[in-house]
Amino acid sequence: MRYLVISILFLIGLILQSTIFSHLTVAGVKPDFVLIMTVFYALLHGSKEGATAGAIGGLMQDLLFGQNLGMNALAKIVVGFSFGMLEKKIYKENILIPMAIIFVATLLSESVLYLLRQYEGMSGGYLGALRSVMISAAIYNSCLTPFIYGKFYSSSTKGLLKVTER
Amino acid sequence: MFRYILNRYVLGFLSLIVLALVLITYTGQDRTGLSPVERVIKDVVTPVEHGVTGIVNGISDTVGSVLSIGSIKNENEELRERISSLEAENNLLREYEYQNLRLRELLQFKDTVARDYNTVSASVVARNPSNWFRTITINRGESDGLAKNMAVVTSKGLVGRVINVSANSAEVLLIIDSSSAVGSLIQINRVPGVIEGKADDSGMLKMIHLSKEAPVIAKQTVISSGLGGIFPKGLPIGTVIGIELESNGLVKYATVRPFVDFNELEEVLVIRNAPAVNETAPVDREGA
Repeated sequence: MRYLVISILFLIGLILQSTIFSHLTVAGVKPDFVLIMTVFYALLHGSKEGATAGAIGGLMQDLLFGQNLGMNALAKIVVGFSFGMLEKKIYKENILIPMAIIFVATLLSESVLYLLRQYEGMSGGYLGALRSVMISAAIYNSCLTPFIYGKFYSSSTKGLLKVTER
Repeated sequence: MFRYILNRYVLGFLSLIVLALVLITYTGQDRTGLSPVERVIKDVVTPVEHGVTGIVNGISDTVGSVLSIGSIKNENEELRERISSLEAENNLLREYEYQNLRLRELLQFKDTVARDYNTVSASVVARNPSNWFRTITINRGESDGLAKNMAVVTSKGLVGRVINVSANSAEVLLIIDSSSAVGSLIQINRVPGVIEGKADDSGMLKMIHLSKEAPVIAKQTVISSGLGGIFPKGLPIGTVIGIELESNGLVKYATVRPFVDFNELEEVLVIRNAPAVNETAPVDREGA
C-alpha cells in the first residue's frame, strides 16, 4: 500500500516539476520533488526502504523523461540508501535538520548525475557545475523542505506511508 | 545479527546499483525505440501534462493581459508603423528572391534549402525536470507521422531533434543539451563547425572545431550546415557573442547565443520531410 501511495506522490511530483515548476526556475534550476520525498522516506524508514523508494521514483522519472533508463534511478538509490542510514541517528522533529540533509542530498544526487553525464561525454569541470547548477538546486530544494516535511512526517508516523511490517 | 542485516542490505543496495548500470548501458541514445512500458506511461501522462500546462498558460496569459492594457495602445501604434515598413521590406525581399531563383537556374545550382518543408505543429507539454537534461515533451507522436531524428524548429530557428516517440507524444532533445551536436556554418563566410550545448546551465551554445585562424567574429550568424543528414541546411541557430581559444591552444570555439528562447517555448514545428541535402552536399556522418 505504501509503495502505491509513494508512487502516486512521485508521479504528482514529476508532473508538477515538468509543468508548473519548469516555469518557476530559480537561478536556472528546477526543484526535485522525487529527491526530496526519497530522502524523507529514507530518513523515516531506513536504508532498505529508502533505496527502494529511490529506485521507484528514479525509474519513474527515467521512464517519463529519460533517454538512458536508470540514470535518475541510480542517483536516487544512492541517496535513498545513504540517508536511510541516518534513520535512527537524527532528531527528526526539528525542521532545520531535514533542510540541511536535503541540501547535502541534492549535492550528492546531482554529483552522481554529473558523473553519469560526464561518462556520456558531457564537457565541463566539476567546480563549474557545482557553482552553476548544484548549489542553486540544493538551496532551492532545501527551501521547499518546510512545505513538504510536516505532511510527510505525520503521514509516515500515523498515516498512509506508515511501515507496518518491519 | 547486525552483520547479517548489514550484508543483506548492502547486497540489496549493490544489486540495485548493478541493475541500474545495466539499464543505463542498454538504453543509450542509439536504441531504436521506446520499451512498451515507457510508451504506455508516456501516453497516459502526456494528456495530464498537457492539461496542467494549458491551465498554467491560461492563468499567466490572463494575468499578463490585464497588466499590459496600458502599454497595448502604444504598442499598437508602433506595430502599425512596423507592419508598413516590413511590407515594403518584404516586397523588396520577394524581388530579390525571384532574382535569386533566376540566377540559380541560370547557374544550374540546386536549391539546397527547400522552403516547403512538410511540418506539423506541436505544443510543448512538459520539460525535463532534471537539471542535467535539456529535453521537452510535445503532444504529437507516431500517429501524426513523427519519427526519431526529425528536426524541430520555431519561426526563430532550430530547436532540436526528436529522440523518441510514443503514439501521441515525443521527446525532443534541445540543441542546448550538452549531448546534442549540430553540423553548422558561419552564414557569411561558410566556416564550418559543430554546435553543442554548453554544460554550464547558461543556455548558450558552443561552436567547436574552429581552426585557430578561422575568420569568426562576434555578431556573425550561425546556421545549420545540413551535414549529418538530421537537420536541414540553412536553419538559423544563433549569433556569435564571443570567441575563445581551447585549452590545448590549437583550436578555438565560439560562444553562440541561440535565436530561440528555450525558456519560452510553447509551440514548435516538427519537420517531417527533410529536404534531400545528401544529393547536393557531401555527407560527413561525423558532422552531426
